[in-house]
Amino acid sequence: MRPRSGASFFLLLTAAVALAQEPDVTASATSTALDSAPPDSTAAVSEASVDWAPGSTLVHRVDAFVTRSDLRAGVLLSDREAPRVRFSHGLHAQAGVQCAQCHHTGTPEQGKGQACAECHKGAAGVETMHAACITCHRDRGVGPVTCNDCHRERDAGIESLVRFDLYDLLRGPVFIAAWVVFALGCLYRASQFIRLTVRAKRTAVAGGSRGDGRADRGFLGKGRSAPGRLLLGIKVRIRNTILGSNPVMASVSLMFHILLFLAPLLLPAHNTLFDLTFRVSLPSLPERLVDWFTVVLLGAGGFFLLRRLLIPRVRALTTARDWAVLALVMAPFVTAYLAYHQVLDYRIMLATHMAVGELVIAAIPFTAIGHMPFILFARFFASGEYAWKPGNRRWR
Amino acid sequence: MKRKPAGSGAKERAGKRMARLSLSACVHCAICADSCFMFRRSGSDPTYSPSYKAINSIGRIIARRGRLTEAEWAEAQDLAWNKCVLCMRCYCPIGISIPTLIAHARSACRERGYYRTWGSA
Repeated sequence: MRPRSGASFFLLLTAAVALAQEPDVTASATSTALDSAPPDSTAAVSEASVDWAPGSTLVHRVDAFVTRSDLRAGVLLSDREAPRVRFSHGLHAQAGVQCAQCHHTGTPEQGKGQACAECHKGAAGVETMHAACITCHRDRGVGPVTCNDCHRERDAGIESLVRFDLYDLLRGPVFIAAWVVFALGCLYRASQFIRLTVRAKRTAVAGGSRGDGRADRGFLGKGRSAPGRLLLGIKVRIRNTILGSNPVMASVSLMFHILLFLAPLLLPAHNTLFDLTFRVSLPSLPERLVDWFTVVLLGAGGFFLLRRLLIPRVRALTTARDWAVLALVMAPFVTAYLAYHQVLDYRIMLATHMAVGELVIAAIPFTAIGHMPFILFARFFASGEYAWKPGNRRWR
Repeated sequence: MKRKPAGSGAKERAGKRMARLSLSACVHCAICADSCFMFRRSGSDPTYSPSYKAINSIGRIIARRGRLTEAEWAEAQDLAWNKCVLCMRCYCPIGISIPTLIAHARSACRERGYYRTWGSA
């Protein structure tokens, strides 16, 4: 049913949209079960007893029961926003899940009038409920384990075009394809570098590196404390790099490139997906902080754009290619920001974010973003005055 | 001994590939400009920035497979021979060897008869 293989992403996208419009057996079965299920007493009661923001699906539901005294007692707010979970008691009953597995008691009646979040509060509540659902789904090999499959709004309008087929596709095969293209592309570039260079004898000039200020410390370091000497060394080092000669561009660029890696790698949402897929993940930074990283990245993108427009030496080099590369690099961050802040349609924005992100990964070795693998060859494997760790190869 | 036609040898092919690889990685950031003393002495004339000189000489020659107009060859000649002295001081943040590119530009220009003459510039 789901298109798992195909030539190009755009073909797949068209196919996924076309499929989404066809009557999908699994999907309609699910939605029938959801819609025709008798208004479940527990769900109805808990919904009534929870303080839903009217008309909004973005509710800190697990935070709704956290009281002031809880906060004083050290209960942490989850502080996370997600569409409410679409849950079908019918499907779970059919799958043979016993009431007590979730409700603690024999029947749903006994838990009546009590929402899960009344006890499972705040951040700890999120963990408990995520663990309960996801662990069971994982162990049984059925049921959703990713954010959007549970936290989803009712399909409506154009939203229904971006259905789970597309999300699964972008999260699975397209993601893998993007990294395969990236890896093969980088290998190709590395092989080009090796074929186009030869081993070079190390000469004093080629093997040397820029002065690190160490030689000067004998004269100027006298009478300075150890931290003072260290500071002098750092100052000398920095002054002799582009941070010294072109401080604005160099610092914006440095920050941009650091955050370009940190923001996606340390984002909680990405790590959750990573953990769900590989059961390992990197440490996460707070969502709010990564959100600020994104703002800084977007600011740096704006800086590069203005620089291209306003500085003659940059404008003289600028072609359509440069605008395309800038747009390509910024697109994942723009869409991530809009998706996170729920500007425009969340599902479409998220799918676009994943698609452009994967496009960028695949495009790295074949566009000017190829300076990413290139810099490694040039700085570590080629001999030269500016190499960080001069290698022993030179261009033919 | 029969000589191969100019530009078809292994060295030229490697040169072309090296230039294509390097220029494909160039982000056109213009940071190299400040490291060029000729750029600085020219009053920041953008045509003196090292990347401009490489892109509009060897870059253009490769992209067009040598089919340049008379004026474009003359520009490449001017960039590679008059606006660069191959002092090897230019700094590229991503490590592109710009002097190597300019040297290749000179070779390509020389094959077409565009090189430095005592009267020019």
